[in-house]
Amino acid sequence: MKQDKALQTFRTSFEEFEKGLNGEYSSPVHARRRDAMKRLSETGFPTLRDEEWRYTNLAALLETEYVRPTQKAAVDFSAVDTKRFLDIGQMLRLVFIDGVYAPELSDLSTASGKLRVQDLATVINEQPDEVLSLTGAVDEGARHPFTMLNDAFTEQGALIHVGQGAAELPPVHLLFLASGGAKPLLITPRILIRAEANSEIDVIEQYVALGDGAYFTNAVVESHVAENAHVHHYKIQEEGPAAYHVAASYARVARSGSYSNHYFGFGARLLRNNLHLVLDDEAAECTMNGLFMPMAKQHMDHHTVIDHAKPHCNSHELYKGLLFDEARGVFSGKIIVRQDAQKTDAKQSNNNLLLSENALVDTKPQLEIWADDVKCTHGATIGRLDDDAMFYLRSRGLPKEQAHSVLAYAFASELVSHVRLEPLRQHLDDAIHRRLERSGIE
Amino acid sequence: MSTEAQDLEKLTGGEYKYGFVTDIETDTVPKGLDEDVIRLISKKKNEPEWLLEWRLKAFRVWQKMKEPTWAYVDYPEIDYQDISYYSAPKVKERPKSLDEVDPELLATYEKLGIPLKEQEMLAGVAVDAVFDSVSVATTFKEKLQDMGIIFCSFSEAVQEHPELVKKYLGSVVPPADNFFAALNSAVFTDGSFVYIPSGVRCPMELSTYFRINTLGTGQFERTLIVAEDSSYVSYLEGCTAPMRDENQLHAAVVELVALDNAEIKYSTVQNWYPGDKEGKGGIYNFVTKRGKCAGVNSKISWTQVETGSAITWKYPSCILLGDNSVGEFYSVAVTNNRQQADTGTKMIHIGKNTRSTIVSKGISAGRSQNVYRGLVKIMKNADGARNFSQCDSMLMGDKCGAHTFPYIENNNSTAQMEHEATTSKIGEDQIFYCNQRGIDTEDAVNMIVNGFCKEVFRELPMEFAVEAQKLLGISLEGSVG
Repeated sequence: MKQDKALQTFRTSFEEFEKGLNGEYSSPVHARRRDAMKRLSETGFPTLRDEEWRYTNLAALLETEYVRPTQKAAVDFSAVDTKRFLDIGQMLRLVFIDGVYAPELSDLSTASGKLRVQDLATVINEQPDEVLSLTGAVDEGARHPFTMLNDAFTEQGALIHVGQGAAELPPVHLLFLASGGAKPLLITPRILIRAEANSEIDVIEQYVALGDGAYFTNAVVESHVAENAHVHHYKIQEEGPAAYHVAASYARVARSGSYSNHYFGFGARLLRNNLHLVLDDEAAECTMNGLFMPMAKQHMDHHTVIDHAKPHCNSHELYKGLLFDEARGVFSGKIIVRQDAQKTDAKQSNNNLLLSENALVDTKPQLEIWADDVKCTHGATIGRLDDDAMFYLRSRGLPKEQAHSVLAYAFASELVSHVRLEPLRQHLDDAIHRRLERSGIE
Repeated sequence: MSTEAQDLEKLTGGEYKYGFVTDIETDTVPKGLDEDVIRLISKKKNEPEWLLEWRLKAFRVWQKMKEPTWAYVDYPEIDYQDISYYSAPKVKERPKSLDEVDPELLATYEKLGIPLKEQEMLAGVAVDAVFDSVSVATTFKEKLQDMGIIFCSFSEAVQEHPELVKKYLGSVVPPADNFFAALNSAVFTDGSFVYIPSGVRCPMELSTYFRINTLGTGQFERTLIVAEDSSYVSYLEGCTAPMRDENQLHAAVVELVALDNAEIKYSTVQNWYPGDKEGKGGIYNFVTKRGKCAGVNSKISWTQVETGSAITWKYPSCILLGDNSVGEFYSVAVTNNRQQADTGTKMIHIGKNTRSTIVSKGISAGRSQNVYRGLVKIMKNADGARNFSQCDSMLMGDKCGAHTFPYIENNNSTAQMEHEATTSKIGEDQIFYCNQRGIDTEDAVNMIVNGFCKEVFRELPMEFAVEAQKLLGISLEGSVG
């Protein structure tokens, strides 16, 4: 089976990884890696028979043989202007090339005592205990096989520590550049975020490919949001047409804290984004917004879990899909309301717009409710552009393509309006427009 | 505990009102299941060779199948060898009229409030009463016969209309469809058969009352309804069962076939013994119900009110094969004490311009679990398909659960689909509003719950709607329901 063969390949490259570790071999971080590899070997990779993976065929992803990136990137990136990808004024920037930290391209000059941003490899070396304390934001049981894979290869990535009461900080931009060369690479970034009490931070996670080659990004983000802290997490996915991307974001929010996740999916051949969030104390809040616009044969799969563990928590979730050509979209959202979580207010919606005859969507909004005094709603729609609205615009002289574009943009722009960084909104607006132009809606 | 919670506890703590065992001699096959038992059942029923083969084939498939575990229900493992697969009241000859029916049996129906004689005369409902597994009384048969309608027990149909049975049996739910359907196909004992000929509108609601009676026998019903071109039939199914301590397995299969322009309306009121307050005893209701809109402009409508059974596990589904066909599903599922319900529907859109509507209302009280699980699938060629789904849940008490798992799969861009779900409890302000106007809490809750379910009750035939409202009241004991 492909699953077993892939597992074998990953095991082999794990052994090689171990050989190159020298002193780090005995560190507690590595013990965790080994443990993860062991658990992955026991669990194995999922198949279509697994309920959580039934709409996403991993065959192509698992068939490819990946190699771990070497310390030196194959391409010379020193001339790359990182502002090209996202220019939103003052910010801290960490750049990774093929998953390996590139200090020469990064800019940490605006870091302060209140905001510590470091590349993970250094932290693993210097403060392994801190790394360990920040991994496992949610129960081990909720970690799926690809998170275990990332656990096993945790080395590169970033640590963001926001000090108590720190606010009005510049956003942190994590830019992952992939060369997309001939050899398929395995890229496993790990991002750890800790926001101490009363702090606020914006983190932008961006994936960009420079070449068209195949590679596999397997990212994990873990956020710990303390009392009354606010984390705004943006993920912009602009990878290449042959890229595989499987990612997971875990977050735990303490009393009166809030976590918002804004996801924008444009790139990758096959994408799977998992979000798992636990509202761990009263009055915690979360927002999960997502926009995905797959075209050609892209496959984008989004699984979200919001776990209302304590009373008086609110959650809002809105996912929208615009699908072109032969693209395929999946949305599965689960809201769990635990027995004690009274006075929960949870809203979830998923709207999908099919802009081509061969586009396909599967959606699975789920509610699992164990408390009685709650308000929970979910809604899902799938449809095409409204004929009446089209007629209205056409009758006012808009050409067909333009009318299409206006309506599709109106549908998508709601998600952009929830982004609080103005320059980022601009960037996203442009990206959506480019997408609509390129797609040439029928 | 607040007074409100106490009230709720008191009000929802109702005991099953229809619990009693009728003492009638029955002819029961020893417990256990193997090919010999199937041969015995087949022989006792004097079945043709092909049906026996069909049963055996299903049995062989079943042996290789595993009991499904994906549903949100929890029950001790069932020992399929510890069930007696055949039980029929000992009646030497089939009764020709009601006068020949065992008076004690009739008395049972009286206790249940189904006065068979009265119904025959007054209500205009033809009742095919099933006592355990064999039909003992069929009324209004002649009147229906004049119109060409066949409404009889399944075993009778096998004897008298083998060509129809052979043609349609298993055409909607194949024997290997799922674990319980395979089991049913192997050991089904009786059920109902309805055939509406072309162009005929059935003048009355056809109705069957099921009773599970003999201690320790599972009941495996098989219902097959065929509506020919441009015909119409409304079929009612309702059930109550005596109180007992041993869990009883009920794995029925219902198949509906609607040809061009035909319409079938299938209504169920299910009130089997739900077990006592601790969940002891009670019926396991694992049913496969499926309708096929085979012809153009055909329509199948499922309406169900589920208040009974310890565990309900059923998904009445529609395969919308014909162009412009319509599928509907209206459901009220009430769970109380330790009841578990995992129910919903499947709408498979294959033909063009097919439409489906799903309205599901779940009410959970006590320590019960209520799950809506549904699938709406639009196939590639189902241009212009339309679906609307609404699933509302109401929670009473803080120890119960309400879950919603809809699956929406769309392969056609011209399709339009909407799904909506809400979960809430009865608002204190609503109760207060009623109290303020002199309506006591019990009546207020009753009124609110009935309002919550109105959309579904409206779909039930009149006779049933009244019974359903009454049942809802009993299930949640008076005021909460």
